[in-house]
Amino acid sequence: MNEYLVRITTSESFLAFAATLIFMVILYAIVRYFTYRSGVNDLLKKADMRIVKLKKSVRKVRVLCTTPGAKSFLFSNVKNLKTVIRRQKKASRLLCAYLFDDRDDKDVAEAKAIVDAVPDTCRSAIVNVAEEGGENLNVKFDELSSEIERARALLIKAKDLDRKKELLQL
Amino acid sequence: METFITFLDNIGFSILTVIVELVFGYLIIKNILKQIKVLLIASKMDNSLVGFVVTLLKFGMMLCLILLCLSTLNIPITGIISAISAATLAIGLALKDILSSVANGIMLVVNCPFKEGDYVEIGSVSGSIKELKLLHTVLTTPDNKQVMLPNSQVFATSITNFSVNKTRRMEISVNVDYAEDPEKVKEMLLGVANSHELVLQDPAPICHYNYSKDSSIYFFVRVWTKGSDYWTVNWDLNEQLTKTLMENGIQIPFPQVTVSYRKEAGK
Repeated sequence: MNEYLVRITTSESFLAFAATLIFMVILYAIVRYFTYRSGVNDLLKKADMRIVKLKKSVRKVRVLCTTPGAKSFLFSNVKNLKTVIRRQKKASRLLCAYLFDDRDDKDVAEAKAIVDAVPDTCRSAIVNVAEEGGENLNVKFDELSSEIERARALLIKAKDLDRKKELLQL
Repeated sequence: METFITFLDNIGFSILTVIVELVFGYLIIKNILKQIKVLLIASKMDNSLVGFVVTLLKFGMMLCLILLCLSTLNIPITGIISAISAATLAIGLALKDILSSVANGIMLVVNCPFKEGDYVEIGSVSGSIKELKLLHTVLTTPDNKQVMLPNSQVFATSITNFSVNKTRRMEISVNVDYAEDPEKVKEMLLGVANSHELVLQDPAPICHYNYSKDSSIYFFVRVWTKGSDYWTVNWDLNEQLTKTLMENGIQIPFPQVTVSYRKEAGK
């Protein structure tokens, strides 16, 4: 028996099979890792996670805009704004991809519109600080936070509807 | 046992290798295509083109996977590639008109002479662009008919896009009797044009006249308006200009012919 086993495991075709299997498994694992990171298998869940990160960046912008002497933190705030824009684009990209397959989903479309408007609000707040305008930025940021929460609620609602549709199809 | 091991050595493991390649290859291709699709959508590529590119890539990758599996089984693939090339050529020749439409469709998407919602005139057909597909461009006419134009025809003819610029100029002509005071009429017409709320003041409305017509003085009024307000302004101004002229007793002439008889000698 051992002799047969040795013969099989030392044959060229077995080695080719083993090498192919290991290579394919590694390649598949790498591709799956990148797929998981980009969130393409569960677009809404990943978009929700990115919106949470977006909210954290918006909070940083808010803190620096509403601090006394906010004008001296403009440079840092511009960097925070770039982070906001980057995170908004990442979230928007996933929602765009979802809407590509399901154009009629009004909830997701509305959530996307809310997310797309976030950088403009932050930008206008920073401009207000730079020009020493008297606008009450706390109220503005409170509204923005509630809009972001509304966008998240819409995504959760869309996800539940998708699950129900899947169950009905089964 | 010896036969089994010989079978495994000769072909068994090759078959297993092919199965592994097919299963994992398919899963890898599926995941890669999902990522590519998201990237293409994020790059703001047109939706119809995204679908086309993804399908093309899927076909190409699956073909490469099949050729890999065949080469694993030591099946010579040179002949297969030659056969596929010949078949592609034959199919291409047979479908050249359709492929021409597809190629023109891609060119239209890349060059963007219009987008969905624009009001255009393509040859003799006018309408709003409803959808740009790979083979056809779908228009909705003002009386709600749907016209599907092959992209080869769209690409080969002139395209007039009424929606690309935000403002449009319109010209309204008015004919007035020779007996009327042209300066007075000009002032009247300009007053009507300037008073319309949808007429833009920059560029300002202009009015000029000439004596080029047989039976009347020819006035033309040029105004600028937003593209979306074009027809509203056109109908309003036509009505208001006519009404203003009639209210002020300005004669709008009709063509007249003077006939004279000549008497011949002795008759």
